[in-house]
Amino acid sequence: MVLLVTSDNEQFTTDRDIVERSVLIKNMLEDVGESDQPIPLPNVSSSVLKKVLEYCEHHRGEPLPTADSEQSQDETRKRTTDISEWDQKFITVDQEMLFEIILAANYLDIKSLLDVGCKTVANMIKGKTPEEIRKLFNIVNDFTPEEEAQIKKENEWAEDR
Amino acid sequence: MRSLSSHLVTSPPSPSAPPTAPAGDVAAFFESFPVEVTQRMLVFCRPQDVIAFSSTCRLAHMVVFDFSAQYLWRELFFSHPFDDPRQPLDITLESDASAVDWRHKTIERLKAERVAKSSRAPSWQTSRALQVFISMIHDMPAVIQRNIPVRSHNLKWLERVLRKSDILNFEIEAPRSEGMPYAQLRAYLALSLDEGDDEKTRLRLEARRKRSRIYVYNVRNYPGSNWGPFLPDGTADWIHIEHLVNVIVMNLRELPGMWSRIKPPLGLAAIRPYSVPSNGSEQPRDWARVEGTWRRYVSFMDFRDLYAFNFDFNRQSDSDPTFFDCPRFREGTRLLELKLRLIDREGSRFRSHRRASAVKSRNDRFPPIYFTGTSKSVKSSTITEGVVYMSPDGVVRWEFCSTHPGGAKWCSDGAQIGHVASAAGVVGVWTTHNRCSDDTVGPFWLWKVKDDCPLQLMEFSR
Amino acid sequence: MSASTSAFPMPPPTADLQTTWAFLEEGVDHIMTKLQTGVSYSKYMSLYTVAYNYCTSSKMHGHTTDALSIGNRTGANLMGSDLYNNLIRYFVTHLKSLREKTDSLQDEDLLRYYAAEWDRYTTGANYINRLFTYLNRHWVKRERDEGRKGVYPVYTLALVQWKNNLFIPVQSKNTKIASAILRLIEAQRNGETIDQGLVRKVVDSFVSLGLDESDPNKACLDIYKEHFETPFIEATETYYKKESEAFLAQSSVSDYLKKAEERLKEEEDRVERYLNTQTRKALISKCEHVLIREHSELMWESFQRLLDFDKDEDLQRMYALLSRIPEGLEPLRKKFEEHVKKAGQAAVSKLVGEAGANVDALEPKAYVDALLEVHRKNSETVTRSFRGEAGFVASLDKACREFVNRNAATGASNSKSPELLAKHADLLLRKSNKMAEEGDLEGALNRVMILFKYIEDKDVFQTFYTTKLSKRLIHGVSASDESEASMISKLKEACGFEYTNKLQRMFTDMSLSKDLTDQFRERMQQNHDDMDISFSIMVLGTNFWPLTPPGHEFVIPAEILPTYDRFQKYYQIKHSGRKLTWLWNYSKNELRTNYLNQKYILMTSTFQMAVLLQYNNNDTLSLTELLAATSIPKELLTQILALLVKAKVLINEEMDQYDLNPNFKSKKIRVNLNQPIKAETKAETSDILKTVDEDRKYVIQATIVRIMKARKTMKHQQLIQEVISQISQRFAPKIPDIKKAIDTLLEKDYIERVEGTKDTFATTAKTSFSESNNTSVQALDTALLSRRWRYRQILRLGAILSQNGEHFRATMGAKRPVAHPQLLYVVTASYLLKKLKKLRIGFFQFRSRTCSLI
Repeated sequence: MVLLVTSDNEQFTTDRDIVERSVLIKNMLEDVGESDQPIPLPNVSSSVLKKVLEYCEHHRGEPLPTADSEQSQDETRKRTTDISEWDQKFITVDQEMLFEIILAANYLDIKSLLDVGCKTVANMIKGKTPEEIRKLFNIVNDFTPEEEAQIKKENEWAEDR
Repeated sequence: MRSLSSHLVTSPPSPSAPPTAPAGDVAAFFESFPVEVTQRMLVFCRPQDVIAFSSTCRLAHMVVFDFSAQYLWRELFFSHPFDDPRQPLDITLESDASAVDWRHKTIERLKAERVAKSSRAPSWQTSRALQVFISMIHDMPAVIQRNIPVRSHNLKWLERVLRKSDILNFEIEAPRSEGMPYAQLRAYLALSLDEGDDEKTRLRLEARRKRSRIYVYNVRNYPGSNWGPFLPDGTADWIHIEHLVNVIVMNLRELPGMWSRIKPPLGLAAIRPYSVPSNGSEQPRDWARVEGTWRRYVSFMDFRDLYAFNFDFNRQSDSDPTFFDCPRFREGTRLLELKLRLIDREGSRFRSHRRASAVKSRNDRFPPIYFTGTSKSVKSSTITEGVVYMSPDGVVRWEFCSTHPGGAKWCSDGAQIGHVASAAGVVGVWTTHNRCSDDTVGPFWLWKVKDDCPLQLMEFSR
Repeated sequence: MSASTSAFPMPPPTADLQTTWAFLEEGVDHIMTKLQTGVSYSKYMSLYTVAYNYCTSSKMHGHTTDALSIGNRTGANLMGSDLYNNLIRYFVTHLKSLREKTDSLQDEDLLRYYAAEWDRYTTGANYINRLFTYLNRHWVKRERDEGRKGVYPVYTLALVQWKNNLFIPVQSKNTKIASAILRLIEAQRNGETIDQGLVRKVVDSFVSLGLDESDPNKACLDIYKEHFETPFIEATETYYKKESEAFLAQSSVSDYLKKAEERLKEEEDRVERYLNTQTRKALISKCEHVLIREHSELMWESFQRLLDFDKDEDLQRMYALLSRIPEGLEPLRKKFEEHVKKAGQAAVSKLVGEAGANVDALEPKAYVDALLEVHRKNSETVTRSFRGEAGFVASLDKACREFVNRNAATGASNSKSPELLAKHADLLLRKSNKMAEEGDLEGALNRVMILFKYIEDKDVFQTFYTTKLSKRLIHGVSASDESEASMISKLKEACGFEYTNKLQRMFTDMSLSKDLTDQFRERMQQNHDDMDISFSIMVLGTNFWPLTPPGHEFVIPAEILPTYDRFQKYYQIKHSGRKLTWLWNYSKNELRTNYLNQKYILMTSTFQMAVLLQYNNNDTLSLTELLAATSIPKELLTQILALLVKAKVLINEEMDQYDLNPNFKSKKIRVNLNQPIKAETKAETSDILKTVDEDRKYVIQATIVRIMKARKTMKHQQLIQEVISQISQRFAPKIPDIKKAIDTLLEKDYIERVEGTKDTFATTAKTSFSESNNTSVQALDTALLSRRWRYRQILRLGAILSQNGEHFRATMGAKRPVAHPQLLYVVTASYLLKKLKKLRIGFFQFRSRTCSLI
């Protein structure tokens, strides 16, 4: 069993093979060795860690991507934005939580979860106009009108017709 | 963490500051995201969506076009997917591998696709799009790399885009320079996308055939010593090549029975590098895969017809398409077999009609290859000798002569359709050796087969 | 939590570089220097988190908003270069302190220190590498992707710094590290025990320090090769050069062979134990050079002595050593060849005695055994000591070929060996041979084939063998059909179908003849109840049998005439158009005596039978009367009579007067009177050789025609060379014979001189009659060869008959034939012609003329 401590000082006890979905923690346990010390996670809050552990528990035992496969990944493979049914349900959260999960996955180095999050955001953007995207994410348009006109002209070809 | 966003929001973006949204409690998500995470997210988007995203604000624009964004665009390029343009085989050597502008490459292809779909793109856009398609054809990878078969993503993409497009059906009356990319692309495709048997397609093909016959059989198109389908500077004359392709392909479509199956492979798959059938024993120096067994179709007009077509002054013009509608018009097609093997330059009696310096390739990886062999037809068997070399524009050029026992010589000059060692083979012109103005000429198509391919020779005239 | 955490509290995510690095540096230093004291989870996590926070702060740095210009890059980068540069600075300082401690260290102490620090350093660097994973994955990767040189993942960076700040500076002082290793290795070569693990560790670090700029994960041996392998190979050369020279000055070559073998093995093991495997090739080839090639002359010189004293082990060792260097074996092969040749010649000289005294009385078996023994012994040497290596096999073959064909017994004659070998084979295959077991015979035949392989004039062997075989078959003295077949199949395997075709046809004729005899006998029993002659016949193809018909008249005795006629008719009906020539001189007969109290069976030749049958009507006959009655020439007849007189069947009391001996007595019931006549045996050998000569003439002519057909024109010298090379498989042609053949062909217009030249020939219209493919070329040879058989018409019958009241009576009965009459046929000209047509030879004119002579 491994003891995790979140940024808001909440403690989580979980199985090693669950928490090792995080390559960060897996590497650390390898390097430092197992002990009953708590593992502090200063970048993760308890609400987010709960979600993350839920994900890890569901996917426990699946093979982790190796460092090698990351590097020599077939560059020409078509990236899929498909998300499995469970993951889709899992990731149906409010925007803020979604972003927090993505950041936590990035920090903890859980590649599959990071991808689920990124795909979800990508799917949200797909087919939208810039204005729609701004609305969606509460983005402030800070271009000058000249800049905006220029950009519009430049990107005309990309507009879905 | 929220405080991170304040940096952008509070600093005045530019002298002519646009109306900025008030710094509300909810800031844009990616403002709290590391750039690399935002980019990773965009990798899963389509390029169009990435462009739309970049138009939302300055930071987004920077994430897409700045911040080591080549990484993002390379990912987008490969996940589209397109073939890796950093081929070791790049014969034109136009690009340094590490200096590929992924963003530019991705966007120009998407723009070209747009042009192909549209029916009213301005001609400069069309011509640019054609260039892009041709460069994509040149990017297709060799069929086998390190013993592994490799699929071509460009091939799939191009077939999809071009099949749906009308872009190649315009008959250009434009200057040669503008017509060239059309012709090149059409020569590569070799009518492989024009297969419909509806009336419209049939009429279009008939018209194209006539135009091509008029071009190919007009001896005035073969000035002086430069009678192959190449320009005086040694680069390929794609307009000429396309006409040669059209004449032969249309003739082959009329061949009866079993002959209709004996055809060079056509279409984009057949012009990939090293798509020729392999006999497993290629010498390393044989970069053009010369050695082995070849089939060759030659088409020819009855000499009297050719003479009449060219020198009948009763006709008003030498480009009268009705000449070929005449029922007594005859065009013949003959199938030959060639068996070729390499020899040293010293051992070759063949001398190109071009200057030796032209034959000398500028590219060390593709030095001229001299060859000898036999050529068999239903009528005779002759010795064939020649040379293969790389022309300045990266087109593989074949020149060879067959000497008949009686002393008559037939010379041929052709261009490999597509890449080095393409399955599609070589299209060109044959003529008698002397090249007098009234010599007979005709198109030929030479392509490689497996050594154990059963030999069937024939001659057919309508 | 350690105290350091409180001294350096974890900075917040927004901390600046200075604060961030101060925290990280303390942690990095802890890991690099005090890792043994451990790292807590919280320490590890805080270091990772601080590095992570810094790297993910990209958006806060690196650009100003007003620099934005659409479509162009501002050059903003991800965060990371500051951390990276600080890491470099840390490594440099850290390594400087490590380096300073090496100044006072030497040799093994230095290596121990180096190895221990290397271990500590690389372990620490691995940690750091993981703590900075995020830096590696994003900033480093993109920098490298964009082609920036000198940026590496953190672990590789640590190695690069080790190389530049510790390894190279220390090495640059008289190659301090490498020299220390080399001294240890030398100590080990001198027999001391060293710490191999230590050497292995230091050598491995050299390998790790190699860096492939384009792919840090790829192994690269440049450092290892430059700083260790090259000096190591040089040291090895010096060491073994000195050692081998000193050793040879005191010890024998045999001892040196052992020593060199051990040293080579040791060096192989060394690579295995603590060097990089890639060094094997360079190291071993250097050792081979110093230990073997440098002393190869000496080994070559000692080789003969080892051979002479059958020093098998040393030979094996010398072979194994010299086979490792190129050209090392060639001198041995040459010496071995000479050795075998001399041994073979010595063995034969011993056999024939001084000055070749016993050549004529040479027993085939003794001769063959002597040759075989030399071959066996040396062949064993090749297998045992030289591992059957192809080059030595070739030397053995060459030597054997030499002494088999040229030795004290053969003199200058190339035909002696094939003759003796064929005779030996004949003796083996005869019934009289006492080879107990079939296996022995098969073994003996295999040994014949060993020598046969070396015979140059295989055509001489062929001719002798054919003659001997025909005798065995005609006289029924062959040991067994299986052994005969086995021998023929061996010859066929060695020389091809053509070579044994004739031999096989002889067997075919034998079996056809048996059927024919049975059929004829059956027919005779149906039609002629009066037949009381037992008659058997052999019809033998002229082309295949080396048999000559009698060169004289012969009156067929009345007693056998009906049988003779009946068979002639029977055969003509069966095979119309074939001509039979009766070979009386080979026929055998059995006569039963009716004029004595005891009934004897006399086994006779046909001529003896003809003589004896005369006594059916007379008891006394004069030589003149017998001459008239038989037409046998006087010279032969007197010999026949002499034999009969000697056997006491006839009595010769008065001059030229021969009486039947009424008191003939014999211990045996079956009396063999059929002894060879002297003149016949003596003539045989020279006859055969004459035949061979004649054959050769045609073979040479045929070869010339064939070559000319292919080449059209050719120079004299060139033509002769070509002929020699084509024929040498069969025999070694003599140049004068070739010249003679050319003259003959010129005369006959098969070739002509090219006008205006002296020595260039061209083909004529006549030559090109024939097609020049291989089948017809072979047939051409055959056709020319067969020409000689026209002199060999054949024949024979032995038959006998008796009538009641006569002195002789043939024993008869279909069940058990007593007499063995035999007969050969010769095919007619028209038949030959037909056969030639089928073979599509171009020589119709030529052949038909030839044929018409028959």
